[in-house]
Amino acid sequence: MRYFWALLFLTVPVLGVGLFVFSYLRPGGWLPSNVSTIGDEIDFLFYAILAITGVVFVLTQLLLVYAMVTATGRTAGKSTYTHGSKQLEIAWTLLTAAILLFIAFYQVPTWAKAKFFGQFKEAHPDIKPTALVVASQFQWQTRQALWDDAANKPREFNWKSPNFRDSFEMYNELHMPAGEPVLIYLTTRDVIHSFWIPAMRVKQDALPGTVIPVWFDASKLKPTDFGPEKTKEFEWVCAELCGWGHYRMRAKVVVHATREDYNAWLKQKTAELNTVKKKEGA
Amino acid sequence: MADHAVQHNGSHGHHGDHHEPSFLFKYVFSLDHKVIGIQFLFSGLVFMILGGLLAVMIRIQLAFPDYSFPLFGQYLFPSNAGQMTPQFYTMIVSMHASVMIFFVIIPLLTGAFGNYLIPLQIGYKDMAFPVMNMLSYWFMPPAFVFIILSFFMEGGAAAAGWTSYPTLSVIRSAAPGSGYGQTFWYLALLCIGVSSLLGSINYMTTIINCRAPGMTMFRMPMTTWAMFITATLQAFALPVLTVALLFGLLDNLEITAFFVPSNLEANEIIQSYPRTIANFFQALGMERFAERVSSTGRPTGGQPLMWQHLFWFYSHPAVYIMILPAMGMVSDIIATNARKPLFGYVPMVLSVAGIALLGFIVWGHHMFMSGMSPVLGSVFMVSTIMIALPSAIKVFNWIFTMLGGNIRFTTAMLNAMAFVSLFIIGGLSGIYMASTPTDIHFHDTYFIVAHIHYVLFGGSLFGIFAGIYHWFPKMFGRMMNEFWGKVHFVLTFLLFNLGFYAMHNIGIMGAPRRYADLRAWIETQDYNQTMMLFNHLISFSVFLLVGLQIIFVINFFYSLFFGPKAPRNPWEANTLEWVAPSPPPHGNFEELPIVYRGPYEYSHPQVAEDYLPQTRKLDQPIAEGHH
Repeated sequence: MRYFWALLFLTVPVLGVGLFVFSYLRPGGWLPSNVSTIGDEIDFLFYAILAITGVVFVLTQLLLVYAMVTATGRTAGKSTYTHGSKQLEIAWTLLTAAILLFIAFYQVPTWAKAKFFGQFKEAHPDIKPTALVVASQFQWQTRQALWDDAANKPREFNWKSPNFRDSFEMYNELHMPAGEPVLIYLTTRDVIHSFWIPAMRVKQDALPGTVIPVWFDASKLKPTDFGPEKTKEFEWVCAELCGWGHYRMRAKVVVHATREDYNAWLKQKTAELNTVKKKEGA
Repeated sequence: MADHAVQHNGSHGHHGDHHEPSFLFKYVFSLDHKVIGIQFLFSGLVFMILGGLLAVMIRIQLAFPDYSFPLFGQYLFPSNAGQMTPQFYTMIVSMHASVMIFFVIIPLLTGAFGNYLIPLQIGYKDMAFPVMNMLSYWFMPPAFVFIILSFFMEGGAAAAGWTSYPTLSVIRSAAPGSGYGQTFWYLALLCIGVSSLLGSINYMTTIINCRAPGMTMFRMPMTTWAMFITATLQAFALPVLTVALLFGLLDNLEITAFFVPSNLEANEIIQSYPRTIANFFQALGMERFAERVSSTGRPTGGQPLMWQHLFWFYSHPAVYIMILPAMGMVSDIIATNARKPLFGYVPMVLSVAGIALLGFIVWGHHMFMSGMSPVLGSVFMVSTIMIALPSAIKVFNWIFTMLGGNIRFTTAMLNAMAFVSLFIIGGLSGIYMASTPTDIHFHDTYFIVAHIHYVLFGGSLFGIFAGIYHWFPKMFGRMMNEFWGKVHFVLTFLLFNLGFYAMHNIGIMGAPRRYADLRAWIETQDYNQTMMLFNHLISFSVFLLVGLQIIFVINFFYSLFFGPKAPRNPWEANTLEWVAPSPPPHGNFEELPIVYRGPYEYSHPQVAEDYLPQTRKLDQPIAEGHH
């Protein structure tokens, strides 16, 4: 009878490994493809943790099954009489602690790179924000700079409280150039939302009453990845319950192949808007 | 700490009077810890049915987003052609978790098993404070009323998640359930907090002061140790939740602004609560208050993140409150059924204490993406990853208790071993979210939902099943049916894994939590085929899983009335509760138990039997075993 139970518990590691392999092999069944530089580090850490936890998972489950298989039947008499083993306790405590401490501290630099604004500013002192992203129930509003023909670059203004003269707004759409880090400021009009671009491994809650800097990039894209319009779209979703429309706060990030392409789009967009304004103002 | 407690002979009431209490005071407002424990048991099981039904509805929506519910669909969702509305979905997701955590798992583990077992396992006649014990149960019915009523409030029950983050939960028009539904949610949880706090004080006092002669702290069974340490967690964490709930309640009623910041556009746009509050202040002649409330629609000037800190400062220890008692029970059940001393008893006790202590300094891991300082995030990452250490030590000790054991595969033992197997998965999955870089991907996805359910269902609920199968004979004087217990176990174990393991995978794929519809672009209706396949697998498994629990329900109630009579010690176990009759009378023990040894002296070489009860006196003292 103990073999029956051992077999039942064996389904756990079999199903566990099996389902992961099955999922990995299927399209769309694994991590979204990564296009950012930080994503390389994050994905590496994911695989490292997967390796460590995978091994521990299989070993402990098999040991459990082994304990059942070798559980001597009632007629065999008593069990082994022992209260423990000091050596074993010390050994597995030290080993586990070492592995865990290593995992913990090894990851701090990646986290710092992803989230410490001071560190980011030091690495990119001249970076200008690309957009102010304002979350609300249930849409994303992005405010990006208009093109300044005279200075031949996007206009500059106070990103935390932009004005209508130097910027324009879009809904559920964010444009950015590939190949360089992009900085946005994130805020919300009402409740907590969360800015998440899965393909760029960036996630940040939008907190009412605050404006939070968020940075990410699409630097792993190659010129062949882009369509005829020299753009590529990525999904961008809300990742914090914000009310009934939480599931449909979906938007798209449009990545332009190069900074020049992005500038050209900005220029064209400004021209379109100016045309409208001129008609109205005349 | 006293090794001996002064006691009277157990079966005479301390109160001196010998008349039988009325039915009301014997079974309703009972002062007997056993009756109170059973009251918690039954109410917990009833709410589990509600929580389970909510789960089924969630799974129907996720696998079949356009399903038109027959019969009650037209009644519940008249404007949506009988299809579940996203408003309703966010409500049932929030209430499923709230009910399961506060009305099922915590009351069952701490209220039912804690109350029932502590006095019996330490050899005392009842709790130290029987009246307070009765009150700790009777603070629950007001909570039941509040939470059930909340469903019928305008806008429905709370829909801001079981975590009720402001400003969604405190701006009354931000979600339909953020009106009186949310208000009643705060009130219900406040009552439960009082109930738990009263209970925790009772448990700590009883364990410290009322142990039988010879019952030193390090001769207590793991169940009692776990209940003791859990009680300290409750005592120190609950006051913070109480504060958070009070602040949230006041904010939700628009009297204060602890969590609502001042520069929200929403404040101007929302015409929230009618001017009743303003009128109220005006009626009292408090003009300035009236003005403050009515001019902006509500008071402002708060900080939403503060709710998260206060809430999680309790709710993280809460998850350990939900696992430690089960760990204690599982330790007892495994040692008893392996006929072997618990491997590493002292390290096991220290691990429970270590988990509890570390449990107080990890709360920020729920807030890595919240806007909290990322530097603080690094600190919490380290403390959180370290909490895996005592948990791992426990897992190793359980497995080594089983190795070399003459295992009896009783239903209780099967559920206890399943606890170990499934808790391993839950614990390991935690590492991905404890690690801040990977949490960037996993936060608020189904990976978290998988982790939650492996520790709470795979862990706590299997622990509860193990406890019920093991202690049912003692509680009710009858045996549950072993065959149907095993059928229930096999089906629950298989279906649980089939249903919940795949949640890890859809989390990896990026499926967000609390989404009413997991299809990618609603307009084009396209979706990740693999994700939807897994959604169907999960949903069908859950339908069967919930439905087949009927086997347990039938076994439980049938055995209650018609099960074979249970002997005093059907499992041939060592601990003190098996010395008392099944079920024990008021006062528990016929004569004062004296304790001669630890609780896990199984298969001792110097006695004929493979168990050696704590109270058995031997002619010659024998070595308690130091190897």
